[in-house]
Amino acid sequence: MTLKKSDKSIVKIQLVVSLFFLNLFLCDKVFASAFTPRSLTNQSEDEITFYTSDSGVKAHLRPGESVELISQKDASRHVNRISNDYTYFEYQDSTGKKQIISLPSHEFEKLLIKPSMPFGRDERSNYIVGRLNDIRKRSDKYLANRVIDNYQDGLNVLNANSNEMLSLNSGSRLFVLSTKKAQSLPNYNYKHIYFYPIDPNKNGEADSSKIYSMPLLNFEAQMAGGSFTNFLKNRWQEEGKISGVILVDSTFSSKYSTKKPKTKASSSQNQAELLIHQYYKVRSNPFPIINRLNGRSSKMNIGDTFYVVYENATPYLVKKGSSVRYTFNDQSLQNAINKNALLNLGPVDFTPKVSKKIEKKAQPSNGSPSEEDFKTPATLSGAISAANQSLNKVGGINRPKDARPCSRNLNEYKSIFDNSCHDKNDYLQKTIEGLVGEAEVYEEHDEKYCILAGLKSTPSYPTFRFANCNGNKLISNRHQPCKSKEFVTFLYKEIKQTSECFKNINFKEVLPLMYTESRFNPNAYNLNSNNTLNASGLLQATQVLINSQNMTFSHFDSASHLLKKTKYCRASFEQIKNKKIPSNRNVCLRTDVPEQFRKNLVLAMAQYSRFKDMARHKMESIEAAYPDVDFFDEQSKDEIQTQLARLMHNRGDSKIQTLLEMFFYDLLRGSEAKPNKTKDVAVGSKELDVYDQDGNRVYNPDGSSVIRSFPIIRKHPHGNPNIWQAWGGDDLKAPIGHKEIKNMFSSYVFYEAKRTLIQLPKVNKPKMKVTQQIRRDNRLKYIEPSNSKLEDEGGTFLHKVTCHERKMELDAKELSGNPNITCGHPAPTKDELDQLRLSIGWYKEVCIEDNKSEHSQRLCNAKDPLKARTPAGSMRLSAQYAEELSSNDQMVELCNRDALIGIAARPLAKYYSKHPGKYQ
Amino acid sequence: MSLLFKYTLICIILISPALGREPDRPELEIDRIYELEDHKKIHKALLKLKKYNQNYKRRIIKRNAYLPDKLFYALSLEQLLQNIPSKLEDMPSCFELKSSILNSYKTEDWNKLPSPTQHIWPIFEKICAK
Repeated sequence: MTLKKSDKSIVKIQLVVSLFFLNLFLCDKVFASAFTPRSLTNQSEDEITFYTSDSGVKAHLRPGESVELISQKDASRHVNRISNDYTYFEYQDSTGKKQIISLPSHEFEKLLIKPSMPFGRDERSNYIVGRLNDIRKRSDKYLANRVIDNYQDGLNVLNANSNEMLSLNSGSRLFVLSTKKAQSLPNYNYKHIYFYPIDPNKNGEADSSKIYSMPLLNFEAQMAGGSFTNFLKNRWQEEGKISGVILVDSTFSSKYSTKKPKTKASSSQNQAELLIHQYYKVRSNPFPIINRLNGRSSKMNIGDTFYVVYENATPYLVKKGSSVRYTFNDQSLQNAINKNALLNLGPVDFTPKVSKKIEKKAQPSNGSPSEEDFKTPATLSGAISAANQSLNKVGGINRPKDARPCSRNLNEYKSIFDNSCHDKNDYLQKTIEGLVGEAEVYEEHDEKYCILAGLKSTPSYPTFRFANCNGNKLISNRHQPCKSKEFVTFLYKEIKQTSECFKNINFKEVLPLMYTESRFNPNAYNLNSNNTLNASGLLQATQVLINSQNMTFSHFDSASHLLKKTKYCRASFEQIKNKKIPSNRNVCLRTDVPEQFRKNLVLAMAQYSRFKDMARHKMESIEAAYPDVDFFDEQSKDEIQTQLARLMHNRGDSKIQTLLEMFFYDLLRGSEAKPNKTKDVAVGSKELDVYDQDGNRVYNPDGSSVIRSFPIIRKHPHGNPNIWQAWGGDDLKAPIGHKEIKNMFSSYVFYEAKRTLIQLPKVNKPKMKVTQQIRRDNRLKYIEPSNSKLEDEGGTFLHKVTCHERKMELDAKELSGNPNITCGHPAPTKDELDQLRLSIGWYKEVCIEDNKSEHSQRLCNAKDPLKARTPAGSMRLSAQYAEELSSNDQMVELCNRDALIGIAARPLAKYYSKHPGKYQ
Repeated sequence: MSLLFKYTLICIILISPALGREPDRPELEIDRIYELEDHKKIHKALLKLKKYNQNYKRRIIKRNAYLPDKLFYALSLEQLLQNIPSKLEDMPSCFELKSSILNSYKTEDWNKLPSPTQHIWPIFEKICAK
């Protein structure tokens, strides 16, 4: 029998339809199974502790007792607020009363895979199989056939050929095999991930004769711990977080679907339903939003990340890293959800203070338990409130919340310290206890609070690495030392004593610099891109500084005006002169408390003192070179020296001194440039990698870095004659103070620092000897400016230090309860702070919110927030908006690189554009 | 006519030694120092260059012209020459000298240093302690 053409089509359609329904049925089953309540029995001999919805009350699941695992949706019917970080259960006690109990998901995961198998073997193996599948899948997607770099010394891998354990050194590289390829290997173990080592002697080719492997779970832990990296690591981890949530949320269903979490459960009146306090990333279908404050329309674009908050029962969208509330069109949002355009990225971390404050507002205050009740406060303010709470509960009496103790000394406030150091972070404690007296510990000093504020805001590993050493051997680099009162006292004492050795250094002026460099962690260190030690200690003394320490100290032989000859200072100088800091790149030899740490600090501080002296000399020589102008404000000279010394510390003294002279030359002689003789040419652009709010580099889909470009149009490789036009204006006129140095000179450094790499044009000298010609050619070789993230360091550094100083001060005030504490010298004026807050707020809240294109970014950099107007002519920044942006909370969150680039770029932007005046 | 010729000749005789003593750019002086082999002479010539470069820088600044590239070169050279002590016996080791130059630009990458560095380094290398 033959079928007609039309019959064939009908059969095809029927087949497709039936497949569709089959698929639908299966998907439904999978999804349904994920939320089927499931009974878990405590099969161990110990009690398992859960949290209840009453703050501080815990429930204990005795051996043999069971709980019902329930979905978050079900939990939300009984608990006022749910968190995606938690897994919820229904528990029936002996009286038959049911209650909802919970566990942080990561703790639940730990219980599941615990070797003692408290929930039984099946649940454990189901969960592990799901986890392995997930890691394998992500590795195939992001890491397979790519190279990963190992950052850890002594990393164990298995030689799959010989079955022997091998230890890899830091700097080694591995080529990741895909699962398909690995499965073809003899003795393939499905629990392992496989690599070829990269042979450095063979032009970095993979050596396929050797096969290494590692358990997948171990591999994931190593990735999370920062042992490995490659350019797709972030994506690998990001997706891991999502699938991790799915695995737990789907209650280790044997299906382990890696489907995106379905948006559900909300109280919106319309059908658009998103979970509150969950990040969503827009993958497609941008939708319109309206700024609640100024009513301006914009779009939630592709790539934007946002979350939902409720205020007065109204839902708002908030973009990641911002606090501006947006209203939205229900239908557009519904469309985006329906088209699966929103990717759930997991729960919002409400660590930043401003967000927390807003969240509190959003939360109904009906006394119901909230997610906060389950959590230990992680933030500084949280720690303070916890400290206050514990003080309030002394003697079992609940004092009113506002009744703070009148006397505020470190002894009474001891709960602001880490009082229970544990075996991972107490490695300096014993040594330090022997170095400080009991009386010193309880002495009250503002600076102690500044130091503690820095320690408490230290980012964790791998942003910061902390050397925990046994002799010269680095044991671990992950744990910040315990923040005990002895530790803070020790740091206070050491910094004070050392700074007092230098006549031109004020104790408080180095605090912001130390905050920026190390957050006061004496054993903090960082690595070069090739994983060798770069800088370490409180001021992050670099390798090149250590290598040239003799020359640094030799300057003090003839500079007695800089040194105080106290007993302590003499002793520390003698100590370091007799036994230098070793130049081999061993972090333990740079940070070991107290001797090596002290030497490191003395050297870095000596260099800083020298920088201040150099700045003083340079200022004098500039004034001598232009005798007609009184450049520097007499009263601000010390502050200018401080600013210049900070810049020199960051970018090197030669670079800053040269740029400072060029700056004044451009201002005073730029008008002599002959525009008719030489034409403007584009000599390149300042290209900067783009970073997101969290400081992660942003990548294109092909894996390359997203670059933002600032054009440099010029006649000369060095200097900019156009800036003379700024001289004498409101922002830059004699005598100049530290504010102008911070704003205008920083901007000059931002644009010019990179150009010092561009060499002079070749000189024609026909009768030159051949050898000379070769050397000259070599010297004049044009070096292409590279995209180094350091190139904008100099331009943004002073703004960053100021921002950090402010943050440290606010935190110190909060910690001490004393509103008069300052953590810098000189303390910034209110005007300066307002201007800084406004600048940062403007950049973050207006420019980035509105404009994504390169052109718009430049436009934004060029505009003065106080003068900017809308196309209709009204002020761009309303008074109300400006006030909101100027809040301390806003500012302290915004000390990030992107915002700082905006501040650094703006003052001189118009002189570096092709069409001066265009961006006015 | 002969008077004019004699006047021109006298002028040339008077000017030429001055031209020989004071080159028009420090870069040319660096080339000359490169030819020297004697440590003392090199050290002395570098100190002289230091002084000359400072005068040269002052001249550029004073001129009613905009010459940023020349100034940049002179400023960079000034920074480099600050590493040369007034006494030859105080000369640091080559490793220290190189580290100090790198430290003054806060980099470990020699290629990131401005142009006079690569030009003058072979001269420094001749007199720094090995």
